[in-house]
Amino acid sequence: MLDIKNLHVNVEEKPILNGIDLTVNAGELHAIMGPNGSGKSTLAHVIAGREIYEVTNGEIIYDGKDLLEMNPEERALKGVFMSYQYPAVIPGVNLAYFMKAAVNAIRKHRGEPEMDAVDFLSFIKEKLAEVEMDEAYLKRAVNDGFSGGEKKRNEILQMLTLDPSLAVLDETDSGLDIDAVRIVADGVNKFRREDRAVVVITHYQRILQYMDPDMVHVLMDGRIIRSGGKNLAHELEEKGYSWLREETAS
Amino acid sequence: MKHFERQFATLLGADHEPASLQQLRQTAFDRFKEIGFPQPSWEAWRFTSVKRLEQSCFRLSTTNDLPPLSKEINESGIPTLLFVNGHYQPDHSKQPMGVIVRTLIESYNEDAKLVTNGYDAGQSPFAVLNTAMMNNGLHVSFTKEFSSNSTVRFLYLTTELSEPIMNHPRLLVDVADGSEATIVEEYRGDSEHPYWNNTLTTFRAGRNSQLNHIRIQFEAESASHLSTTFYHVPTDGAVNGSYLSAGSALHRHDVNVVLAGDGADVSVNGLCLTKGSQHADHNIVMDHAFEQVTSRILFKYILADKSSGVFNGRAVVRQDAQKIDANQTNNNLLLSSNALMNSNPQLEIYADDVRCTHGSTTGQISDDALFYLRSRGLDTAAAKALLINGFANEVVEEIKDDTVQSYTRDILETWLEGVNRG
Repeated sequence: MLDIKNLHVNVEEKPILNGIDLTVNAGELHAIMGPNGSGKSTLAHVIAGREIYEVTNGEIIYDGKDLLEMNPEERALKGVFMSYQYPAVIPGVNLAYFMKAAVNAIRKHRGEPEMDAVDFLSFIKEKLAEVEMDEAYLKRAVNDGFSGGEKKRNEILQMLTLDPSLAVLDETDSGLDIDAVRIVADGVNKFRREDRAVVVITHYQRILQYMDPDMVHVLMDGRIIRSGGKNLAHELEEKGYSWLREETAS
Repeated sequence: MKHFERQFATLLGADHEPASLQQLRQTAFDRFKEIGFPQPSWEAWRFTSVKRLEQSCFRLSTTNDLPPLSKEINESGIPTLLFVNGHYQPDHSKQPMGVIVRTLIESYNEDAKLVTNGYDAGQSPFAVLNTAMMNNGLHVSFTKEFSSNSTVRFLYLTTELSEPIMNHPRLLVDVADGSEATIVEEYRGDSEHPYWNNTLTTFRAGRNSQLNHIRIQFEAESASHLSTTFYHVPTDGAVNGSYLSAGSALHRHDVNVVLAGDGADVSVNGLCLTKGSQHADHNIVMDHAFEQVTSRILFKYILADKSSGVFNGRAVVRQDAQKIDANQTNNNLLLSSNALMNSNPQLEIYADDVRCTHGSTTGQISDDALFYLRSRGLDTAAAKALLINGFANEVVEEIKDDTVQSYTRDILETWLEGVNRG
């Protein structure tokens, strides 16, 4: 589903990613771990299409197509979803209105009829229940005055509602208490399907306790320096990132 | 000025006007000549030039300027008093129960003070000019019998002109003690010829009354729209003003609020949309003269292309006005790097036990927010429209009439489409 080859990315002419290779197949969940400043968030944003990140070399193939040729909305319409570490605040636009616009943009792209207000309301209420969000959120401005946990839950709500094929979660677990981490993980587990792929980017292995990753990758200094199974996450938790850094250097 | 003198001369000798009214006009016109047109050196006019008016040759509108009217001219469903090219059209107007409508001359003949009670005094040359040249003035009284659920609209339409004209509409509105009224004051135009509306509207709220005043300025792009609004709010009176301005090449609105009794409460919210080379200026003075009064000003501008805006807000708190709460906020969204906004919220406080806040922000659409929406599948135009609507919502939601709120959204949508095309 996702095939990243030799990806080099600069931000303001400074190299951040220095040759990433990553293949994620449909049905799989991959975790990308790494210390602060290793380039994890950059990778997520490049997949979503943020323009300030300049791809200097390499390619990203999604579903057989060149992802880098597409603008952010085309990517979203074709099933790429990113959950933000710091979701933007949209003042004055309530969640129901925003979600209906997004759902209908995607339905239109797929050639499905757009949902009217009544159908949408019953649809979104089901999704809210899945992430234990109160219906009152529908009338609140998107992320405006939301706590950290509320914002992340809102991201998971969007993932479940917009029905993407590839979900990239950028530090969705950071800053959350254990209950919120569980809700996020439950959301991801509900989302998983044979025809969907998930990339979970995280600093801590905590959230991985509630998930079953097929692969764990360690990103450091803009490269994937180690890939392994679920046990790699435990090893990192015990030994820290410096262990790998030393091992790689030697 | 010669041109204005010639126009003024056409008003003198009108045999339906009492001599004292003609004298009132003459005194006002002399005063106007003395003050003259605003100059850039005047503090309140630093960023707004009226040269185009000073050099213009607008003719005062006469009944000959009245086009044949079709029956569908008022399609909104709201009871409407219609003015076309400056002339009141009672046959095309609907006057709801509990509202007394008189021409200003009728009221003047009963009580001359209604027109000369000081609302047009002071330094504003255009308020003075309105007194000199006012035409088709109305005096409207909302009595206790008026149903608070209904809304009354004053629609000033300018259409099918044969040459540039000017009008000086005058409206005096009284709201009875203890009653509630929702009033829409709306200016629309579709004339290719330039025209100038110089309006003066006075609201005298009753004690313990609630006045909702919705003002919509959607004049033709060729127009100049200058306006003065007075609110006199006595003890426990409440006023909620909601303004939308999207039309005219030049727009200037002077708003003077006097909180004239304990417990008076006034909110004025404004949404101002400018594009092309439009210029819009709001100058608001909120005068707190009594104890425990509250006031809020929230003005939002959305500026596209090479347009420009000015916001001047001044909260005056007099010595006896203790324990008051005054807040003014001006937030502006620039859609183009060529758009320009001048914002100047001011406080003038002579009392010592008060709560006053003011703030102003001017910025562009947030890249983060735009990207967030695009990454959820909205194209750039749709995402921008959503963000702009969100910015405007805080003001639009305050409009106290659902029908008007919904067509305000239509105006905003039409405006946005124009900007996206442009």
